[in-house]
Amino acid sequence: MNQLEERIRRELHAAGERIPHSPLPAVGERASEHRPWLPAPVVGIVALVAALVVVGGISMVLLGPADGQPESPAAAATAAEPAVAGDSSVVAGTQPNGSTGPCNASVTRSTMYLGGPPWEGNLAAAGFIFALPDGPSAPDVAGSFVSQAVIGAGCEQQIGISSQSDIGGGRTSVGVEVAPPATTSDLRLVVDVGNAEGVVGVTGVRGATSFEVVTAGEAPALRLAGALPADADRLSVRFRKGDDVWELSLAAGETMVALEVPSGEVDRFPDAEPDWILFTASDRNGNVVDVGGTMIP
Amino acid sequence: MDEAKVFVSDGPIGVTDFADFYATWRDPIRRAIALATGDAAMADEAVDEAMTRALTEWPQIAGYERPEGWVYRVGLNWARGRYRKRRYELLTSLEPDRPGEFDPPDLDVIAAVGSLSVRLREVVIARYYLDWSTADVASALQIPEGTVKSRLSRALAHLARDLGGWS
Repeated sequence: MNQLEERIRRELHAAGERIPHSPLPAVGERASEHRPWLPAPVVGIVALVAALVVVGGISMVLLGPADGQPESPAAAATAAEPAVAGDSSVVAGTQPNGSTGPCNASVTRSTMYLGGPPWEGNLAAAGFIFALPDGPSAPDVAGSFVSQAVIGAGCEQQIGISSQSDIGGGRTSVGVEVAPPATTSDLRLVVDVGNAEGVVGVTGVRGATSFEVVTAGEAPALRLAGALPADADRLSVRFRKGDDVWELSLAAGETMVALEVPSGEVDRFPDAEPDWILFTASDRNGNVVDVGGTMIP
Repeated sequence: MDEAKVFVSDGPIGVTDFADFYATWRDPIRRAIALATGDAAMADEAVDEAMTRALTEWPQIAGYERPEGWVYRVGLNWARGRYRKRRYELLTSLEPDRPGEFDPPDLDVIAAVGSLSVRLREVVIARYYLDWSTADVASALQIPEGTVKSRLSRALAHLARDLGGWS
C-alpha cells in the first residue's frame, strides 16, 4: 500500500470512528421506538426474529422485541402504500413507487419501478434495466421484474410463464402472462433476460405497443410506433443517465418523447447518454396496462 | 484483514448464526455505508434493511462466501435508491461520541473521497475502510476483480490529483 493509500485508509478510519454510535436494540425494546423511522416491514422482521428465537428454545434475544405489538395489517399497508404520480407534466425524481402491498383487488398499483426496486438486491447494473446477482433462472428474473414492477410484490401467483426461448448471445426471451388484480385484461409481455459479469438481468421488455428509440436527433427520443391500449390514460417514461434515473409523466396521446433531463433540473451527467428506457402506460386507476423498454445502444 | 471482522459459520445455519453475524457486521457496514453516502441516519436504515433481508434469506445468504459483502451491497443499493434524487453529501460535520478521543479526519481527504462518483466511492470505502482485499470487494459488489482494480486505479488517480502531489 503506497503513501496515498495509507493516508486514505487512515483518514477514512478516523472519519468512521466519528460516526455516532448506534446501539443495537436491547432485549424487550421495540425497534420502532428505538429508531422511529424504521419501516413497518423491519418491525415485522424483528418480531419474526423474536419468534424464531423462542421457537428454537434459545433464551437470548439479540434483536427482537419481546413485548412489541405487531403492526396491524392496515398500518402495514399504509406504510407500504406507494406514492401516486402527480398530474404535472414532468415529474423528476427516482423514489421507487411500486406497490408492495398484498395481492388483492384493493392494491393501489402505480407506475413501474425505476429500473427495478433498489431495495431488493437489484444492482441496476450497467447493461441492464433490472438486474440481480447471478443465480436465478431467466423465468425467475422475468417474473421478479414483472411482479415487483407491474403488479406488486406478493402477487407472484398472478404471473405465468408462457414460453421461453434462447435468442442467442447468452440471452433468453421469456413470455410472461400477467393477470393484475383489478384490471379487466391480462398483460402479455416478452421479457428479454441476459447474463454478464456475474449479473443476470432484463435487457428489454415488450408489450402490445410497438416502439423504437430514435437516436438521430440531438437527444434520443422514444417514438411510439403503435397505439397504446385504449384504456391507457397516462404514459410514464423513465430513463437512466449516468447514476440518475429520470421520470417523465405525460398524457397518453404523446407519441414522441425526448429523453432529456427536465428543464429546471440539474443534469449531473451531461456527457452521458441514456442507457436504457422503460415506459409504462396506465389507466385512470393507476393500473399498468402496457409496458415497454429497451437498452439504448 | 482485521480478524475480528471475519465471520465463520461452523455450525448449523440458523438464527444463532445470524445473531453472531449481525453482532459482528452491523456496525462496520453501517459506518461504511455512512461514509459512502454521507448520512449516518440513512446508513442505520440501510443496514437494517439489508440485515432484515439477509435474515429472511439467511439459509441462502449464509452459504455465500462473504455474507457481509451481500449486506454491504444491498445496503448501498437501498441507500442509492433513496439518494438518487440528490447528490451525496460529504460526511464532514460529524461530532464524535467522545470528544477529544479521536483525531479529527483530514477533511481534504474526506472531501476528495466525497467527490468521487458513487461507484468509485463504494469500492474505495470497501477497500480502505472495511479493509477488504480486491477479491473480497469484487465478491461483495458482484463485479469482476479487474473492474475493482480499474475503479481503484481511477479513484486513486482522481484523489492524487485532488490532493496534489500524491502518487
